[in-house]
Amino acid sequence: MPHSNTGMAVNQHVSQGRKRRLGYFRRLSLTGLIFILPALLHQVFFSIYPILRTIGLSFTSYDFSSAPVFTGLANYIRLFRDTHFINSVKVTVSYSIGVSLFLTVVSLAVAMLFDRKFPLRDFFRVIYFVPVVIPWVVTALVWNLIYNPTYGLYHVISDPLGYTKILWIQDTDLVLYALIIIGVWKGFGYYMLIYLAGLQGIPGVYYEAAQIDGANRRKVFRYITLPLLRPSILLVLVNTLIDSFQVFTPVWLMTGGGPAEASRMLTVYTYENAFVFLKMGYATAVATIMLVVLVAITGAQRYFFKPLT
Amino acid sequence: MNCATINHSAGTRKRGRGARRIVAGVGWVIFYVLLAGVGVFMVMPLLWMVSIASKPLNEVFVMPMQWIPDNFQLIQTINSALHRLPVTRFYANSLFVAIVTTLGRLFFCSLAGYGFAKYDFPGRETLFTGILAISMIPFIATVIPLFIVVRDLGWMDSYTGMIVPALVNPFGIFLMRQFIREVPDELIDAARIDGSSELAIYSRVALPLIGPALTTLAIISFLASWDSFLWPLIIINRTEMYPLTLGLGKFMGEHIVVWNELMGVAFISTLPSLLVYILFQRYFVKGIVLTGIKG
Repeated sequence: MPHSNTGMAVNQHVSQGRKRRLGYFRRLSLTGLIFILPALLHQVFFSIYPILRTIGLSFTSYDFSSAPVFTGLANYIRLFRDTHFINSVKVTVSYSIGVSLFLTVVSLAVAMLFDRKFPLRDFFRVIYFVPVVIPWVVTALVWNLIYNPTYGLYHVISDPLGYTKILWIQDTDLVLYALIIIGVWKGFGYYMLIYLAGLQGIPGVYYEAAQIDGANRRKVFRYITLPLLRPSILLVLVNTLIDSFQVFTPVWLMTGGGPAEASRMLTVYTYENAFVFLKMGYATAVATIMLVVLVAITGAQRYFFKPLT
Repeated sequence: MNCATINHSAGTRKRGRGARRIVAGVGWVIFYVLLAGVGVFMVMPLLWMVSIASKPLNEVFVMPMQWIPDNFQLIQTINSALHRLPVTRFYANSLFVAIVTTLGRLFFCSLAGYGFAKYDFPGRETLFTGILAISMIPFIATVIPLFIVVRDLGWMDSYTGMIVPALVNPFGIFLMRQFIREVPDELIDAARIDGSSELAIYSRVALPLIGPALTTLAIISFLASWDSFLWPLIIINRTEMYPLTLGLGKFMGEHIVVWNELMGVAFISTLPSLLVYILFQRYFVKGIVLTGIKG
């Protein structure tokens, strides 16, 4: 029987005529389809159709009260001349790269500290992961207060240093840094665990062999750890990029995109165009561009990731 | 499924010996100071939140700061917050949506995972790849048409509108399939020979054997639902239908803020997430490792 990948040893059971045997397996096959049907239908309706419609709407002008009007590439042409859009792109890219680089490097550094047995190891690991499970709204609420110019908790650190009042999220130059700090805070524990899993996957014998050969710690890191961690590093890099690219909640709640557009991420820009200005065609064009970028990043990762496994 | 688990007896790494031991000793101090520093950074916002929630309003921002107030009144503050604002209603909304979404997701994703894992039908691999491809789609790229669909279906301002679009998740299907694959085919064939219906095999043979996977998916789904903000923001306009996220968000915009009560509400909003985390910690680790392998 050629259907060995299904592992169905039931062919022994079916002994009567060919016709019956074919019918049985076909029925079994169809049962599989029935099992996946609900989920499949759901995804077609709530994922596939919407994404296609987004792309479709991006070529129209749609103000929601009347039917969409086909406008071809007008939205896209306007987008590339739109200073607000370009600003949003800059903001999003700055934020994403900031969070991503920081997380990729720092999580690795700390994960390496954890790659051995020491007292209180589990305690710290548990503590570090807590921000990951805190809901974003609560995060925004608390950090908003931490950054409060007059009352904020940051005073505990800045007052001894001599800074009495810092306008974290009211200053156009500082607001992105403030948001990046939150992004790093939130994601750190998660990516540290990913690195830890990668580190634990490196066989101890490699380290022993290096030690026998007299390699110092730097050499070990450079020639053993780092190369073997490349898949993990790539994974973390891409995931942090994708994640931070899509951030919405804290920005919306803390700054609303301000001050003066300094934190107006693409997600916020899309939302505002769609649900505030009611320019749905334009908004879907922005969303389509975001889709293309994210798929490109994910695709690039898959392309580079496969040879590494 | 060969996923690396966090190994608590990591290899044999030797410490410095002999004269180096003093330096090594100082090294350990720095080590723990560093770790503690990071730990403080991670936890301080939450501790501050609870601290504010436990103080009477006039003491909230008094410097120098007292972390644990003499006048510890967390319960009273939360109580008065619940009276002043419709938090209980928001909480109930969030809880209801989260639980139903999680159960629904467990059902539909495991059903599909079982189908992909244990049956062979034409186009199976293509469909599965398609499902995986869907997980690459950012949510923001689907919200606008989703909003239109939900509006046309009359699901605005409803639990249905919050629950149904989230009932199936591509990663959930992937997870289920991976685990169900491990269920021995012999068990399934044996059940078939005994005359069991396919659905019964799914529920009585396969499901019980993938308990950890179901738990992991349940945790992920619950936390995601508890955290969801953008989607309710789009489709919920009536205050009484607000989930906790929207309710909290609204309070942030107010000019006159009763800080201790706000932090009290924030605190109880965190409790389910924290509870799930503390109770099911090892599932987090396993789940993350799986994500890492999946890439």
